[in-house]
Amino acid sequence: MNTLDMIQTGLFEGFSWSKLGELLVYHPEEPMLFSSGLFFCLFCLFSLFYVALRKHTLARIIYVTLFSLYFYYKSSGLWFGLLILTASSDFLIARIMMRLDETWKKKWMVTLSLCVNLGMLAYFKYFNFLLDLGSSFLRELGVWFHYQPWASLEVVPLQIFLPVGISFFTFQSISYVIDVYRGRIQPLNRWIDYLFYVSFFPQLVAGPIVRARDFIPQIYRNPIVSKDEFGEGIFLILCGLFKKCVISDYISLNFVDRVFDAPALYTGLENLMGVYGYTLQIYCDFSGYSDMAIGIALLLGFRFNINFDSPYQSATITEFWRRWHISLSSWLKDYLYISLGGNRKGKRRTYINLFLTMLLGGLWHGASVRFILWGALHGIALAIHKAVMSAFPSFKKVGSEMSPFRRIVGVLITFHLVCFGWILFRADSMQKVGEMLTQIGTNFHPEVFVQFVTGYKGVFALMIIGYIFHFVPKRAENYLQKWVTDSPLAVQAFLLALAILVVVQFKSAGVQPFIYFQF
Amino acid sequence: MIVENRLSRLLLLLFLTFIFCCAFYYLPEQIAGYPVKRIDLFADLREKSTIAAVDTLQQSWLEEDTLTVDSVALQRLAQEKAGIDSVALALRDSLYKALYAVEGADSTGIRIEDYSVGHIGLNRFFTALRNRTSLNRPVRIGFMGDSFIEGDILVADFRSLMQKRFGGRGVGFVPISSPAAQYRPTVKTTPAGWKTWSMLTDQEHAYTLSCLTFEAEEDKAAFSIEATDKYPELDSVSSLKLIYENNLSTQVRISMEGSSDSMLVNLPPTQTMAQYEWKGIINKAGFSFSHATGFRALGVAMENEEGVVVDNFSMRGNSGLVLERLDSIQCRAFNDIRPYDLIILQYGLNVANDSVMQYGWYGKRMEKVIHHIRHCFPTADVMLMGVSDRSRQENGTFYTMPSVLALLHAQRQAAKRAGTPFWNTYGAMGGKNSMARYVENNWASKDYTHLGFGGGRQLARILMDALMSEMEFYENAEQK
Repeated sequence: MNTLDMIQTGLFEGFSWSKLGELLVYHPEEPMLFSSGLFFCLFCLFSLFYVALRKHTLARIIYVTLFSLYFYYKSSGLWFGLLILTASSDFLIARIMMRLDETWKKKWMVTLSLCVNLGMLAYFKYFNFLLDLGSSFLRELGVWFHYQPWASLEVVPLQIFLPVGISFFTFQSISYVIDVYRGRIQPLNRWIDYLFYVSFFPQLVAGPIVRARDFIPQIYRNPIVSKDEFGEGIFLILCGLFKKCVISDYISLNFVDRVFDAPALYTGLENLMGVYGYTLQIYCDFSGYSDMAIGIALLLGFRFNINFDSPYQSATITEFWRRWHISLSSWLKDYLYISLGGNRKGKRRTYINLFLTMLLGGLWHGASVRFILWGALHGIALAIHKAVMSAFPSFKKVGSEMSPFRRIVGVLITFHLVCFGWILFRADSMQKVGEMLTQIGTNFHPEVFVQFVTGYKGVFALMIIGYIFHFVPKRAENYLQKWVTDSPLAVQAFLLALAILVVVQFKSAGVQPFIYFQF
Repeated sequence: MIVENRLSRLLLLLFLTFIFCCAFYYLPEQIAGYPVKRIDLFADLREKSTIAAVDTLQQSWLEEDTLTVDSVALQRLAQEKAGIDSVALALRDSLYKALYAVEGADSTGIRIEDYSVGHIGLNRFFTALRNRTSLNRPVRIGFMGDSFIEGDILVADFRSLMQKRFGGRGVGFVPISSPAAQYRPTVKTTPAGWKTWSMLTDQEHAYTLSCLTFEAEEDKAAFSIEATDKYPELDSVSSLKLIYENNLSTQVRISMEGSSDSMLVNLPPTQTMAQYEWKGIINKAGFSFSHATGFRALGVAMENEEGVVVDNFSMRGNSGLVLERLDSIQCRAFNDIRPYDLIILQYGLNVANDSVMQYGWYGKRMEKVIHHIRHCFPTADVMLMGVSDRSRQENGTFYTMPSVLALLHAQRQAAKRAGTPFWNTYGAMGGKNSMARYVENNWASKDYTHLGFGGGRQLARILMDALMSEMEFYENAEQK
């Protein structure tokens, strides 16, 4: 044992109370995650008053909103003002829209809201990307037309802070304005109610994207948590912690990131494992955080829709998009694809709409060409699948309509297509994509497999566990959830504490050193 | 149906979870032999004892390192080496102290810490640099190391800086085969039909600096090499050399870009080591070997016969200790065909272990290694590099592994006892927790151990500056 490891001190020894103040203010490098000790402590305090206020609707709404704003402040500092601004502008736009009779005027109001929301998104998330794109275009033109000022154009990117979760809360807010325009919901009367919806902390920073028409009715009723919901909430938090803080964090730090940083240093087999690893990592990261958000909301009496439904079990790419990040894909379908005309304007337009929706969906994930390529790949795949289905009726939309053999083949093909997409999504340059594919194609070295398994025991074990959990039938998951639900409260609390203990072990685990395989 | 509202149970749930977490704080340090990290909900409110301990360690070792040793043996060694008397040596030492107001350990890596008596540790190297126009050969640096410099990380930039300053072209020595060859941006090589012998796993063959030798498979062995334009000094060279050993009657057919004909050469036989040189404007060459029974090749060198050449001798997993077994006859033969003026030793990462704090044994053996290399390469200066920063994870944050400091201390002591120059890589990176910053800047890999090319560029610049400021001192001392 290392002599430098902490000498056992009492639980309350060595405190420095000045650190408490420091801890409670905004630190850009330490956003408040559900898996942090600070969140747990603050959530305990929060719940105390939340339960006390359960029968006082307005007071509860104000209280939760203030806590949410603080939560956002901890992640983005004073940019919580932006959140208030978005909420205020869309609240007002919806109110004004309600009083207008002519459709064209309403359309103008929707356009205004889109300009505000997308303009904000464009500035904070895409400005430097667009600047870079524009300046390289001008440079090309300058070279073509021998116009020196353009040919030698140098643009310094601006230092723009990206407020956490901006992609999520702007999309939520847009859904509200469009739904009011479409007459699907009535606009809210109170500003604070709308701010509550936009800022509600469980889904604030990483989704799911909650629709106004699903969420707003839940604000006003006194929060009720049934036995099943209580159990489900705990189960989701347990799953989320394991997926996000154990599987995803561990395999990315100890294996996946390295392969994607320097693919040429690794054999094809390691590259392929890196791709499978990343495929699992991104699912566990994204869905794990979503699970925790849904679980926390459930414990507070709010029901969000399921966001990931074992997506790699999909037998077609169409099915994949019904199971992957459902809140985003359904948002894109309802507010982008349908707004573009959906499938109402003929076959060709349908394919174009599908492609455009996926392209923009790709761009939503980040300001980079690689996300656009990823979106384009999925757009093309979806369009091809749609075309094949209409040409050959034996091709089905989802796996449950297929014969077992076709389904297995479908799952394998879909899974690998999605894996290929993740290479585009994760690799930081096209050169790296090329290197990975070259290594997998020409430098595979299957003989290092045993060394890989023994060298990366932890990573390999977690990958196997992760994929097994992913592919177990829904029945098994329900059984486990029921077991958690039926357990006594003390057991439930013990499970949570145990999960925290496991997370702590992984957070302080030694970094797996590089391993070089002999071949 | 009336649904029982469990909202209030949330409080009890959180309270119990909290109690369990507090209880887990008192878990033993080990369960069934496995170390257990305790849940510490209040960790952020506590002063971090490990980090404080790193500070204390750093301080106490630096103090100890700053003390100078002055043994008679070292003095004799220095006199033999420089051919100057003890009074003149003492004068040089005091001049250095007067000029730079420092001596002993340097926590920043800005200076080369020279532990030779009279501050002459890099005399041969700087003399060669000064006289490079009349040498009729390039000034040659052998950069020995482990995976830290694999793929020419750090060395590529160091070479480029050296060649920009003092002239010279080419990547230098390149082994026939290397697991990181694809990753290396400074040269492209394709070997076929070779069996690799490595000093790490083989006791049978006699090895020199490259620690590798490649045995040709009869009539199947081939090799091609191509310069890259990654750095402007690399794209073409005037001399291409094949370095080989144990040859009876091997024939090599070589084709070079620019000439459509290939040449067939009978390689002169040798029992020890030899090289065959081709001249011209060369950026690409292909070799195929025949009648190659027992033939072993070490590698190919691409360089100009002027300025500076920096050879990268990296080997994964090497702690440096195997260099005790370098074959002195083979090394001297190597030095005859490829004379070295400076040999840099970058090792340690393969020894640093989070749970070990004593590295005295390693220091003692590295001291022997330094003496042995001096014996094998009597015309070269030897410089030791300290271990680089490496992190360990604690509660999701990365801190300097305390054992890095212990190893650094042992390495510095070895340099002191051997009376050789030392460069503090850890200090040059920025000292405590610098690896975490390197990873943040994308200068190092996510294993918090190895550099990336960006990090190599940073370190190469600092190393170059340290050497140049040292050279300035030598020039000043000559004039006084």
